Amino acid sequence: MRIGIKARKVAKNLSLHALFILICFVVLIPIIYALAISFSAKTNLTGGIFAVTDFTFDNYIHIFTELDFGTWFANSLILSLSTVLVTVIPSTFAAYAFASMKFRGKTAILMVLLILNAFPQVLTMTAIFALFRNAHLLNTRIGLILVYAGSNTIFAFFNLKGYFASLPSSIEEAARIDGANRPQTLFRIVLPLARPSIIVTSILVFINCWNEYLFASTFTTGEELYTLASGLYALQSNNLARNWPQFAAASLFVSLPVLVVFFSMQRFMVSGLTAGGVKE
Amino acid sequence: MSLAKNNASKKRFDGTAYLYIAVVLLLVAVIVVFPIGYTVYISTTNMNLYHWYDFDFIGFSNYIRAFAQTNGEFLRSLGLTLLWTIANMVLIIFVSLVLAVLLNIKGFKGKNIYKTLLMFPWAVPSYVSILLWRIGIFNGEFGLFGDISRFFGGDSFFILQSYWGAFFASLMVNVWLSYPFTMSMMDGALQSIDQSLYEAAKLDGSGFWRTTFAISLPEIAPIVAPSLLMTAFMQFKQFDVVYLLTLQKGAQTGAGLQTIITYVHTTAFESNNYGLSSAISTIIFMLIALLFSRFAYREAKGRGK
Amino acid sequence: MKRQVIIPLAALLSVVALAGCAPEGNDSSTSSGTPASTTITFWHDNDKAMMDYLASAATDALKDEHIVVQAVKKSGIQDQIKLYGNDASNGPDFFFGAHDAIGAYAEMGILSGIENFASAETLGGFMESTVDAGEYKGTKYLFPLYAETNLLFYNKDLWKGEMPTTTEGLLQYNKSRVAEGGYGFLNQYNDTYNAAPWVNGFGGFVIDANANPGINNAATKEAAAYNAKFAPTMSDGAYDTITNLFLEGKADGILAGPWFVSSVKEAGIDCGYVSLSRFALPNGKGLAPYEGVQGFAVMKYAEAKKEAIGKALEAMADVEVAKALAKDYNCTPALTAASNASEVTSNEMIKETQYTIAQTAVPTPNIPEMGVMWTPFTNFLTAVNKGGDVDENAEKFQNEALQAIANMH
Repeated sequence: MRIGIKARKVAKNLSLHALFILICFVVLIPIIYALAISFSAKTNLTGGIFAVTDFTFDNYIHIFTELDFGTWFANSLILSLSTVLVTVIPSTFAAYAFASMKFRGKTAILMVLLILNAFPQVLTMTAIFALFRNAHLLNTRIGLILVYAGSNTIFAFFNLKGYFASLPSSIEEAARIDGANRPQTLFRIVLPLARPSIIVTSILVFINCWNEYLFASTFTTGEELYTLASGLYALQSNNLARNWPQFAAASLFVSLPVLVVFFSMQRFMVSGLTAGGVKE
Repeated sequence: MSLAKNNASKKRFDGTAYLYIAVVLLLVAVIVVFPIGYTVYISTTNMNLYHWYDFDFIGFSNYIRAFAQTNGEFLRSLGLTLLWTIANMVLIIFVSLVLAVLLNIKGFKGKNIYKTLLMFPWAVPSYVSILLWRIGIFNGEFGLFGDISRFFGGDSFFILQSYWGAFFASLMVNVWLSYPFTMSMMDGALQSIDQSLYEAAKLDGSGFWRTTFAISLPEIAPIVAPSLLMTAFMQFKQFDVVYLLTLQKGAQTGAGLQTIITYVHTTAFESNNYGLSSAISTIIFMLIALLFSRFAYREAKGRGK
Repeated sequence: MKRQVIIPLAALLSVVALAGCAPEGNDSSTSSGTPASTTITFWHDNDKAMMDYLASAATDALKDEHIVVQAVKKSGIQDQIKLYGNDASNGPDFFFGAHDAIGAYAEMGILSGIENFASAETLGGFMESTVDAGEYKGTKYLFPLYAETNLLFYNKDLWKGEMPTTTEGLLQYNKSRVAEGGYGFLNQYNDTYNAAPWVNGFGGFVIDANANPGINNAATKEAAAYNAKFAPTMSDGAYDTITNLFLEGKADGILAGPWFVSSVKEAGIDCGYVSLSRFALPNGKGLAPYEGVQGFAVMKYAEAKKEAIGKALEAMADVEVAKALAKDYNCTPALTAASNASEVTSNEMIKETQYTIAQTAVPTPNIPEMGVMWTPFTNFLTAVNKGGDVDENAEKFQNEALQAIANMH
């Protein structure tokens, strides 16, 4: 009987693995394609989709020796992490207020925020540019962080609000009865419970900033402020002399930190709810 | 019972709430509201190449011009944008949900590896992955589609050259780019479901399907609804995918596929008439507000009591 | 209650403080060099090595004057110049670009005439056509460095038989190569710039000097219909497709310009170059590509740095610089004094470019209205190449072009 259950578990796991290996393969065809190119000594796009021509690591070596990847990497990291802080902290407070406090104009504010978020930000780039020029924020990291924070905050806030509103009210009620004030409730009770949502939201903001290139390449004028995404964009925009293997290697390298962050965050994703075994 | 409902019952306004939301509102005011206001202001001026810095107030004539130019093609692009939004949302929700539910099957060891691998489309800057799709997959000469077509004895196959071919290809790429976010939202939501609900269901003898439809989906629906609404907005204003696949300079495929934003970009913005293009931007904004205000109101009201 | 206020407030402050701590970007105009030196910066969206070479050549030449010239790569430079056009603190002092954008910048009022910086004598040392190309409404704005035109690049190992001397010959060559399962010469047949040799050669035009679009001009239509005959032999005509087919030794030839040479060399292709003027159209005239002139233009707000910029420009109008650009980057020098240097005369590509300029090349129009012609004209070509009716589409896109021009005002 026990062996039977175990065997069934193993079989279930195996079939799930098989299924996901297949899914990942299909989904990642463009990535595998880039991977094959990145290990090729020369561009050979006509040679077949996954063909590696003269296997080499040179393209990866090249992006470190010939490009200023270190600076770009540091810039991306500083921008993305700062934006995550500047976005997620205020959004958390706001989400909490909207989920559990009663105040005048709440529905109206929510609705306006939702509709504002529907406006394509790229259409207002000139306006932001004019604002920043007068505020001397062009060519600064603060300027970019502000743009990113402004464009991500509504999204972040709504994500968080969805979670907060779904937390069982009995928990907060119990805390309030125990004499905890609002900030205490927020920090000691709500935040630990909402940890997965905060992490998902932070990752969302992080990736959005990490991969942003339009504002990064428009609002800064020197290479010393290039991010990975905008530096790579400058490389490929001059596509007259595109070197595919190096471009592929650089692209994959840019995405690697995102995957590492995502993977390492997974163990924090288990909710306080599940871990603490709180019951409604 | 949720936090919201509980506190609503107290019927007391809490003024400190404004402090909690102050920074968000400030950020939005500076980075979102001000630029929109400025755009509206520019839309009433004659700011163009010939009056780049010395523009004057000209009233609503830009709006009159914009409406005068509302032709069949503009309306067609608007219709296509709606279809595009709906098709994307259906596919994105379906794909993300299936993946998230499968990933959360009890006792699935090693799922974090797959979850991370499936994040890849999100991790690569979009202009890079769109390029990879254009060259690696859709190129009729040496891409995967061309290879497949030739394998079956066909000719080189240029999917991006026909209207619906380009639509289908863009849809594919956009779903590919978008599902990781919704999947991870759903995954996070699934993980935050109270485990006791599942234990109870197990005692009742419910199977995988029953549990999924009776517990998982209803539980995550309210959590992910706001982000899905946001995702729908994002599809509506999507620009990169259609533009980079079919309209980029030097790679125009002649598919004629235009969403509302690519249409405005290739018509109004190229003229460098900021007054006129600001008027068009403002009209689009009004349009979006009109189209989505029902959903926005329901969302705001529904969980905002 | 008090604490309820303090904690969110503290969070608010910490956020503000944090934003304040984030390191500032360097102001590019104040870095490096001795305190007494003047740094001038130009933007470009060109080959980085070439532009860095130009900057260092000027800096070396002006060492005694303590003038440092800095090159900054800026992708999408045309839009960026419009944004930064009157932003003296963040914008460049001058920039490097193609002459056809000059008219738009001049109308915006962001450029200073080049005669404020370069003497008549210096400007007189350039080929007349290159200085004229940068003239708009009677003012010269461009300090020309090199000229470029499209040429036929062919793979010497692949090309079969003699090079045809007529476009009909080219078409036949293409057809027979495709029948054999190969590729003849490839072109971005939908693209305005790359189809221009046909349009201009037939006596058609994209836009005339008075800003009249020429899409429904009879000669333009004839050219578009003829150009469409080549399309079925040129794969999908997309940049990525045709360049890779050529670079990977699958296609015998391609229409391209000097910017493509470095890729060709890197791919190890034994490449020959033929001027498009050498191919006669059915009307007996040679193909007539656009001539582009690349050079510097100076921002109006940089007039205060007049002396330094002037000296930097003079330093770059140097025979040795022109020779180096010809040798390393296949640039056809605008400087007349360099045209007989061995680096120039021995370069087959430059020779053919010079030939094209002398024979049939037409300067790309530099009026602002040209900027809105690319999209409707390309759409017109695309429609015709896909088998659409020429007259019908010509009317349709002529109207779109007229609308786009009207929208500029």
